[in-house]
Amino acid sequence: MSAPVAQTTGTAAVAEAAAEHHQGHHPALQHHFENLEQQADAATLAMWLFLVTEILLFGGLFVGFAIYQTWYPELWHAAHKKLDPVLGTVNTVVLLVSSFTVAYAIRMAQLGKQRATSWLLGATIALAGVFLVVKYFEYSHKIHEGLLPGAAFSHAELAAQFSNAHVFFSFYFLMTGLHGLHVLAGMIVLGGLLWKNARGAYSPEYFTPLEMGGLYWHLVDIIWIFLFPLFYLIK
Amino acid sequence: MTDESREQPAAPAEQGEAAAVAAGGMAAPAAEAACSPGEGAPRGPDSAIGSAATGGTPGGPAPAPAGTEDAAEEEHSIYHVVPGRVYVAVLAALLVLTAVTVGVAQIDFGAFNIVVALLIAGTKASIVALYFMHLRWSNRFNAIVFVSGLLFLAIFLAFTMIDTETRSWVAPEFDQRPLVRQGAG
Repeated sequence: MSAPVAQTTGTAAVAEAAAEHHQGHHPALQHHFENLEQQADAATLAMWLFLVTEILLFGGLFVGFAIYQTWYPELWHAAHKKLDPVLGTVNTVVLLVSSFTVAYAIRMAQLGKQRATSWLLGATIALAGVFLVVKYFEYSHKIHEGLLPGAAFSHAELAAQFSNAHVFFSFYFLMTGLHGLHVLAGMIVLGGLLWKNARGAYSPEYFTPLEMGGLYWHLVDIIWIFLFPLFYLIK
Repeated sequence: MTDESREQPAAPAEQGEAAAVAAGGMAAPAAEAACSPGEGAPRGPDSAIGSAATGGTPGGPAPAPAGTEDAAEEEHSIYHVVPGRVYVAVLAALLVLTAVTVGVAQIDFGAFNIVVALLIAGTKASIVALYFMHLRWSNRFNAIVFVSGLLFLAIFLAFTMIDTETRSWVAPEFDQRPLVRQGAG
């Protein structure tokens, strides 16, 4: 190891020793790991731990949703009809296809097809954009109709039937909004991966960041898989 | 780098693996077992893949591969390349299940609508986790972490609902809900 050299000599010698040392292994290998496979295993485990914290973050909201749905089933039924199931289904298909494209992008990286990886990452980001555009139109429509959380709620028909119809839309905007922020974050992450991939940062030996970005993107998809039936389909 | 310096950091790594295995109560995946140090063989991702393909331990935890799948199926690392047709089949299954959940929602099963919808959503999520997220081929410890998270979410949900749905059993005045009830219109 180069540690004893670093302690006793000047910066030039350190740089020289480091350069010599780095020739022995893949440039992406961190020195505290034995090999790239062990490094990837550690990253994957850490990513799953992070995904669990995401599940628990959304889990609290899902539990709140379950409580209010069982307390106010008539309200939930009347309010869910104000959501557009066609737009919800379109967005579900968009996210499922985007999960496929990111999974295939990683497969192409494993096979060393750098350009195909870039195109598939680009397609994933474009699909994420489509999802957010659809969400934008849904939100605009809700805002226009006064289907809003709390005191902002001003939908005359529902207000005449229920004194607490705003609660459904508090859950709707909070849960889909938090999910939308995750989609936005995913676009930024995937954009960074696309940029680095285009510069040749990944190879069949080292593509761990792509795999981690993919895991995050699939979790965003999984959360939507549950949000979609609960908000758009449940009667 | 001498052989000695290569071997030294390997020992704690092996202990870490043993600890993880003991904690999870699982046998070491074939790839890990095959590349454990001590034989003086050159190490690295390539050699690990090679030995995993040829030296899979019998009775390992790998799911029983179908007839057409080769020995690489037992490899447990992110270097496992999933055949393209598997991804296509997974996407097709997810789209079919989406159509099913939309179709089933049009039929009135009463309280069972939500059960059916959540069962389909759970199936879709499992498919995504197993294939797109590679849990099927990943180190088993990742699956344990994921399922533990779901288990704690289930405890959170179940115990909360046990409270909120049974308050009136204890005393009717506890059934007061925090919001004004639905008006008659």
